[in-house]
Amino acid sequence: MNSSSPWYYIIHWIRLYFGAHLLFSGIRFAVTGYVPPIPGLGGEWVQANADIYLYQAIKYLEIVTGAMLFFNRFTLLGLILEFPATVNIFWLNTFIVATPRQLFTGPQELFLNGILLLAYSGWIYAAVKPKLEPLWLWDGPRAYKPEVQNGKFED
Amino acid sequence: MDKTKWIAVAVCAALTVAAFIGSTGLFYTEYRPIRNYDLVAFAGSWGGLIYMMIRDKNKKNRK
Repeated sequence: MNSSSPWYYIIHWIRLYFGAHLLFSGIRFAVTGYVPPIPGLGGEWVQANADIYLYQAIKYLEIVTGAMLFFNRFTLLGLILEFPATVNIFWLNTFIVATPRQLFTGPQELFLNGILLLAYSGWIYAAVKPKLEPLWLWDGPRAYKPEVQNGKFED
Repeated sequence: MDKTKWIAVAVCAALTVAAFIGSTGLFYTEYRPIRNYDLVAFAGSWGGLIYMMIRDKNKKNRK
């Protein structure tokens, strides 16, 4: 993305906003243990998650992914790691809790993570194709050599 | 500030207004004052954007 395009700054603004949003939410939980009151079935789901420590794990993950996004380090990896939590928030707020404000904040979460994934996914374009041969992470540099394409390369 | 940056600032301002309305419930549901949560996100995003724009301006001037 060229910095002479408005998109460049808009995407960075959204990255900073989403990063700060996640950082605040995660750090607030770590410092105060704050869990927002959620009515009905949604509240029961969140309480069940807290009982099995999944809620806590996601809040600490938010600190890590929020810092990754805000400080622009491993941004694409941060967006991918955050996405399951985003889908969960989207579903819960939009379809289960569905109070007027949550009808805004649910889709907002999916919009923020989704548009950032779109904006950064150009980096994984080459790997998003119907057929891929397995390639260990540590063999990554071989992705740029032609012999890996048919699954045959010398170790 | 060139035209590109003004367009970006206008879009980000519109996103800020949308996030403000969404969080407070202004015009569509019972009003809730803006939270520190939102203010921190606004401060982080605008502070970061201003920092980036100044950094890029300095880079351009050095060329």
